[in-house]
Amino acid sequence: MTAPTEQDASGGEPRPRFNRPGYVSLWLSRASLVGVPDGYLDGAPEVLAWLFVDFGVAVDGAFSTNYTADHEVGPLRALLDPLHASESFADAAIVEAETRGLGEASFVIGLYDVDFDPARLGPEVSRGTPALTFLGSFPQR
Amino acid sequence: MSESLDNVTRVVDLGREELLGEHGYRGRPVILTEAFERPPREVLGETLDDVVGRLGDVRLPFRPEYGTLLMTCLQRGPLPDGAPDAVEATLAEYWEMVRQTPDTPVMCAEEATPSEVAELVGVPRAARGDADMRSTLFIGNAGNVAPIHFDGDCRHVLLHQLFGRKLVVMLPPEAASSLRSVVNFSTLWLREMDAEERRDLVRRLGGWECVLSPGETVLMPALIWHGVLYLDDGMSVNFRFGRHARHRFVSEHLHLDHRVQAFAAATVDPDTLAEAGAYADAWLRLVECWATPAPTPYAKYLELCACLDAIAPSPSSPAVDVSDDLFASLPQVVAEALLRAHIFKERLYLHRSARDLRPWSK
Repeated sequence: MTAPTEQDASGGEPRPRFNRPGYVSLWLSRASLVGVPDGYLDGAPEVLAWLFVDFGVAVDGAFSTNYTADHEVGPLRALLDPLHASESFADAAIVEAETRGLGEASFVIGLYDVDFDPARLGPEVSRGTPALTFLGSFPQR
Repeated sequence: MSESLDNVTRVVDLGREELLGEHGYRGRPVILTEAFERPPREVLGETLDDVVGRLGDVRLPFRPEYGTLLMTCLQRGPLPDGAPDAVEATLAEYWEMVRQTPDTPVMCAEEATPSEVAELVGVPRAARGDADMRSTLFIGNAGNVAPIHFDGDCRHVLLHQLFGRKLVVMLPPEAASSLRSVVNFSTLWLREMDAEERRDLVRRLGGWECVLSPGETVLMPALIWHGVLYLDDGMSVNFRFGRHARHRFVSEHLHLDHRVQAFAAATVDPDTLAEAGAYADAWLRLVECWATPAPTPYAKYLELCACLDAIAPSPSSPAVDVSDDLFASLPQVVAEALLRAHIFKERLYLHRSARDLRPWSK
């Protein structure tokens, strides 16, 4: 199990924070990450900056990341299972992913105690790009 | 054959109006051989030993050149947590370190010129009296490189060489279509190109090359692409000046990329801005787009890209065919991550109110 780590990349600006204890919000990448050093995928500030810039999520709490060994896309289930407390949200996440045709990924990141809702930001906010797509927010124990 | 294309005109000096009117606003570099009232070499000499003798106790931060560090991190991973950003040393200590490690990537790049240096060097005649002028220092060993990039502050730059020689490569903003840029850096491997290959490419891209010798000052027009090869251990000081208020808006409030560069480069001449018509309308549309609240910084970035595409004053030159081997191989996702990191670091597009429009709409 991957222990969540914490880092502050809040940006210090007034934004919807989406904090909600007991929820995990998941993003995934469907892009090939070949050539990207592991250090970035472990949760470097660049990844957290991406969440803030594209989704307005200020990462100031716990998160977990995981990625495929070859950095190519693979089954999502194998990426989710090692995440902290995944036994409480992986099944629901897989159902959501399969519904949307997102059953494979190269990278996942889960923000804990975050209940992200793009609708709160307005209709213009999509669910992201192939490089980082919002999968959903799920109850987590 | 000369080390460089050597196609930058040399003149003794030009007044500010002529320097900007004939060169800065037209995007044409020029070398001034006597840009100062009192040449810095009269005070500091023009060798490493001379300058260290006068300034050896000056303390400065030294670190790998930013663009080189960026490329290294992209290929090997981010710096470990707690890794020092810079090492502080005196000028004498730095050159002693260079003597022991001649190929060190560590240098002093674009640090604010300390007052004790500024007092001895002075200010070029053309940059005097500009309240918005800034001066920074470059100190580095032979073999160091500043990759090709453009500066986001939208100022013209007078780069004066105190000692050692530098090969300066400059390319017009229109070359962007051939440079595979990420934010304001080209991924072209300047360091890896042999001289003939480099000269040929610069010629085909409509650019300039010169070897800047001690005592010479090159004007790099605002927003021009430029890169530097340190031919010798060297030190230079630059003077950044001649920016108008709307370009301050660009540098403080917009992201860096080839679209913003192209638009700003086409409006470097303040007389262009004074003309009624297309440019004035374009500025207003750009500022209105910027000031309209967006749900996320990325949403605003996309809106601005669409706006700039719509108001772009002129198309970029057709791309010149450049071998893939001359570029760093960056995965697309890395380029996208760099853009986000830039927007995040500069705290861009966080405003939530149209009141921000007012100061810039005139």
